[in-house]
Amino acid sequence: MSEILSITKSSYNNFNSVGAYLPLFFTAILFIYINRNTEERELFVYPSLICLALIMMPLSAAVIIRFIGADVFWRIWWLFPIIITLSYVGTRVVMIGKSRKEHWFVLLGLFVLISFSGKLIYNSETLINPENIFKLPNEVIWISELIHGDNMDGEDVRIIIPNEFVEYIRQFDYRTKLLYGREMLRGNGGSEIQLSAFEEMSSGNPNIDILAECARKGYCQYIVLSSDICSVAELATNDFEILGYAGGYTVYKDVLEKTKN
Amino acid sequence: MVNQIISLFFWLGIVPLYTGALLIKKNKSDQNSLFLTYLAGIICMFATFQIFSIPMIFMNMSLDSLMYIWCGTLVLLTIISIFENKTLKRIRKDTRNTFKIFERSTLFVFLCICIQIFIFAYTQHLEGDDSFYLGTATTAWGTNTMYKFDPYTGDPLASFPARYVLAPFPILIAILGNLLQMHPVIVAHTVLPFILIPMSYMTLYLIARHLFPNRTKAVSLFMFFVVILHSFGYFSVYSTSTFLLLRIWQGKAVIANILLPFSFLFMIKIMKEEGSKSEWILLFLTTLASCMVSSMGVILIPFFIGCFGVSYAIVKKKIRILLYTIISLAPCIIYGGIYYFIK
Repeated sequence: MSEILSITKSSYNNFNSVGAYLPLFFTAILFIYINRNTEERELFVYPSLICLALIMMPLSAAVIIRFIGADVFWRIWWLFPIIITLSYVGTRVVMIGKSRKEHWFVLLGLFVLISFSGKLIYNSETLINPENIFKLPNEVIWISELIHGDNMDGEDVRIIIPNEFVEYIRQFDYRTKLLYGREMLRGNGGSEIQLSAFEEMSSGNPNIDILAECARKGYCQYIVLSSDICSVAELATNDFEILGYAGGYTVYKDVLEKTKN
Repeated sequence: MVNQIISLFFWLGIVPLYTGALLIKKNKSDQNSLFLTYLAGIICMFATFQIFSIPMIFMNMSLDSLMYIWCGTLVLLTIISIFENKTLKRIRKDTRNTFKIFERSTLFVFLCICIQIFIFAYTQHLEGDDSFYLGTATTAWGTNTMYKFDPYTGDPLASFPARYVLAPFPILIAILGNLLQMHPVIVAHTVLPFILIPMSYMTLYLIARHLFPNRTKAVSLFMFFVVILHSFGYFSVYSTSTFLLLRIWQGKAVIANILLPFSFLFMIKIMKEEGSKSEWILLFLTTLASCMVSSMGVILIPFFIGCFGVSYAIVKKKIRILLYTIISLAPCIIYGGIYYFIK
C-alpha cells in the first residue's frame, strides 16, 4: 500500500514539477464549488473529485497502475481538465469586474499569476532551428546517403552508429539496420555482442579491436565514429577503411566483408 | 508540390468535412458547427481506420491493401455525404456562421494560435520516443508491411508488439506519407501539427461556446486564457501543453489534447441536452478513435468518461445515462480484452 501511495505521490511531483498548475486547478475547483451553480459543479467539480478519489485510493490506484504501468502513471493527471477549468475560472473572475478598467487590471493580474505558475514553452531547451526538412540531425541523413551511395545494389546494411544518433537514423532510413537500438540506451539489455559494442561506443575512447570484432560477429558492414577518435590506423589493421565523412563523424567500411561478398 | 497540396486539401480537408457532415446533423445547439463537423470527420476517419487496420495487421496484409480499403471507404462516405443532404450548401452556411461571430478579440486569439503553429513549423524538437513511432511509420512506408520489423534495429519481429499493435497511429502516418507523397517524418513533424494543433483549439473553442452561450467576448477571453496557459505550460515535460506544442504528432498527445477535451465537450452536451442519438454515436466513435491513436486511450478515455457518467447518473438519478456510457465505451473494453489476451 505504501508503494502505491509513493507511486501516486511521485506521479504528482513528476507531473507538477516546477509549476503550480495543479494547485491552481484545485483552487479553481473550490471556487466553482463555492460560487457557481449546480450545473457547473456537475461538470467541473464532481467528476474531478471522483477521479481524484480513485487515484488516491490505493486499491483503485493499484488497478490503474497494473493497466498502464507505474512508469507512466503520471499520465493519469491528464484526466483533470486543467486548461479548461483554469480558463473558465479566469474568464469568470475577469467578468466579476464592473468597469473596463477593472477587467484589464484583473486580466493583467491573472496573466502574471499564470506566468509565475508555469514556464514558457518557447526556449532554447525545447526548440532549436531545424537543420533540414525532416527535422532530424543532419549527420543522420549524411551517414545514410554515404552508406547507400556505397551500397548501390540496395541490399540491407547493418551499422554501428554513435549513441547520439541511434534514436534518429531509422526514422529517416528504413533500410539501415542497427546492431543495437534504443532499448540498449534505456538499459533494457541485449545480446553479448550488442552489450559489448554499446559499452565501447559509450566510452569516450573505444577499443577498436573489440568494436571491429563486434561488427564482424554482428554482421555490420559499417562503423561510424566521431572524427575526434583517431582510429584510422587501428581500423585499417582490422580491415576497415574510410568511406567518407558526415559532419564531425567518419564512416568506416568493412573491406573484408565486401571481399567476402 | 501541386499534387501534394491537392492531396493534402482532399484527404485532410474535403474528406473529413464531408464525412463529418454525414455524422453531424443540423441541430439547434450547434448553429455554427463547421469546427464540430471537421472534428467529427477526423474522428470518423480515425475510427474507420481502427476497424480495418487491426484485422488486416493480424492477417499480415500489406500497407497498400489497408490504404486502398480505408481510402475507398472514406471516398464512399464522402460521396454518400455529397448526395445525402445538400452538404456543400450546409458547409458554406456553417463557414459563414462560424466566422460571422468572430470579432476583434477573437481575431487576436486566432493570431496568437497562428503564431504558435508557425513557431512549431519553423523549429525542431528532437524526441526520443519518435524512435518507435516514426521508426514504425517509416519502416511500414518503406517496406509495405505493418509491424513486421523492429523499428529500433530493423530486424524482423518474432511477434507483434502487444502494447503498440492495437494502436496503429504510426501506420496511419505511413499511409498519409503515401497519400501525400511525402516521407512519414515530414508528415509527422511538419504537416500534422498544422492539422492537430488547430483541432485542439477548435475543440476548446466549441467547449467555450457551450460554457458561454451567445457571449462572444467571454468566449474570446476563455480562448485567450487557453493560449496563455498553453504557452506557459512547460512546467513539466509531462504536461498536456508540452505534448501539444512540442510533440503533437504522437498518439498520446492527440489523446491528451484532442480526444479527452472532445469527450469533455460531449459530456457538456449530454448534460445540457440529455444527449441525442447522434451524440452518443459520436462518443462511441471517439472511444474507437482513442484506441487507435494510443494504447493509453484504452484506459484513459473510459476512466474520464466513466467519472462523468457515474457522477451524472448519481446526481440526476438516471441509470440510462450510465448504460449508454458503458455502451459507448465498448471499443475500449474490447481492445483492452484483446490486449490482455495477446500480451
